[in-house]
Amino acid sequence: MNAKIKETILNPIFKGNPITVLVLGICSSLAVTVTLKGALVMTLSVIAVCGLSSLVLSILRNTIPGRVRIIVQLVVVAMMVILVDQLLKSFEATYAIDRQLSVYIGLIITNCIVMGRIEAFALGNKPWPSFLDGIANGAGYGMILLVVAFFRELLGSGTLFGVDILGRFGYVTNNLVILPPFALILLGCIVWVQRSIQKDLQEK
Amino acid sequence: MNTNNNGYTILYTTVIVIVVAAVLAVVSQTLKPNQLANEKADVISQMMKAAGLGDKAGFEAMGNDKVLQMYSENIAEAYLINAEGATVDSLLTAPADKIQIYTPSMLKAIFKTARSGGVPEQLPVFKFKNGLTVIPVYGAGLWGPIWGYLSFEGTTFKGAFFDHESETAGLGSKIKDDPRFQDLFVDKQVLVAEEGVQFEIAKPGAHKLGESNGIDAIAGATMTSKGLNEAINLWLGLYKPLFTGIAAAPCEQQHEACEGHDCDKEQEACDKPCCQDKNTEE
Repeated sequence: MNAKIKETILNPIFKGNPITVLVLGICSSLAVTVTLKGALVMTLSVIAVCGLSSLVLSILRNTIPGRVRIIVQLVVVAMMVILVDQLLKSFEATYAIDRQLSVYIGLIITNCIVMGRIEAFALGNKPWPSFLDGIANGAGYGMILLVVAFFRELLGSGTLFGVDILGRFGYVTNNLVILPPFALILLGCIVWVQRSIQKDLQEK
Repeated sequence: MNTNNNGYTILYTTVIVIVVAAVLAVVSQTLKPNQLANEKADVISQMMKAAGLGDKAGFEAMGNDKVLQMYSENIAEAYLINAEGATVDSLLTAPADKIQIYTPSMLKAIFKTARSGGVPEQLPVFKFKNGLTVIPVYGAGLWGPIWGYLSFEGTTFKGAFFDHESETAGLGSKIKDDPRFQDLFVDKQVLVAEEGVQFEIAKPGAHKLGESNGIDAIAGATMTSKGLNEAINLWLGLYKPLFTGIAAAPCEQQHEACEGHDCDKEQEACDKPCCQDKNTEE
């Protein structure tokens, strides 16, 4: 694996994380992080949509008319999202989770990370690196999602992946944790931690 | 190649849109049977949860086939009634692939008719072998539709399950996710009165009906609770014949306690309709 590919994969996970550094995809990270299971399915969905959209659009990149390129991107991304939603609905194992995530799967279309990476990377790079870039950004997004969901499910419902953890110690669940504002507070803390480790992100 | 002239742009977008539409159409058609099967099993497991045959997570772990099989084994009969309570048609309960149920979208049609003042022509009733009757409810929550199933014996609720499309996670979504909320319905009674069949979900201290005719609303989910209250009352109203039939049953069945009561002596018992009947008979 050459250095450039490695950089493409590793950069979005930490140094250029789409949520904490680029501050993209904030809305859905507030909405779907109430439970770990939901966050995990959302993560996998975003990885799939991000990777495949980047791949397809990178293949098409030299043919897309410049004036309508955003529209073409949107059509392809929307198709991927609908495909993911339809697939989740048709498997017994994922049907219940799809019902739980309801509109948020559809709203991946509006997730800025997907369009952002296509605009910034896929349209200027070959298919394979673009595909990896999409997957890595989806994973970087998902990582933050899972961290936030871990704390929110644990403190808000006393469970992890639906398994009772704190409840048996008589923990009284905290409703604030379940509400979206708490996800924002958590995200703020994560950004704080990252910026104190990565000094070059701090504004002078 | 010049990708910026008008002809190319129009041709390109047309082709892309047609290709995408074709892909989606094919996928949608291919996956439809699976999706419908999942929805059916979901609805059936919700009804069985309401009928006290297990919990939702358990049904999800069982898989669709076993859920359908269990339904066929436990259902006594399923049929459609009209607004007067007369049976108009029956619903198939076996074999597994022919089971007929009412999906939320079908309930929505009934809800729309009823809300606009119309009289729905067909209302589904599901009778289980354990003696419980299950009826659906459907209404509007805070963000989207809410629906569910209530089981009862006589005029007493024995179980409930509710589902929703997009209620607030952790608050309104408790109607689905919190078994404790659904358990509140158990052993509560509907009030069969002149005005109709009533039940009440209200915040503690704001109950207008008797203690046994209502439950407490969910704290922090006022609009969802209100929506559920309205939905339940609307549907109980639709199913009124089912309950008034019960209330008008012979008094011996209705108040077994009346047997052996001396209606003259026991004032409380004398207030019971059957004793009043007896008094007038005498």
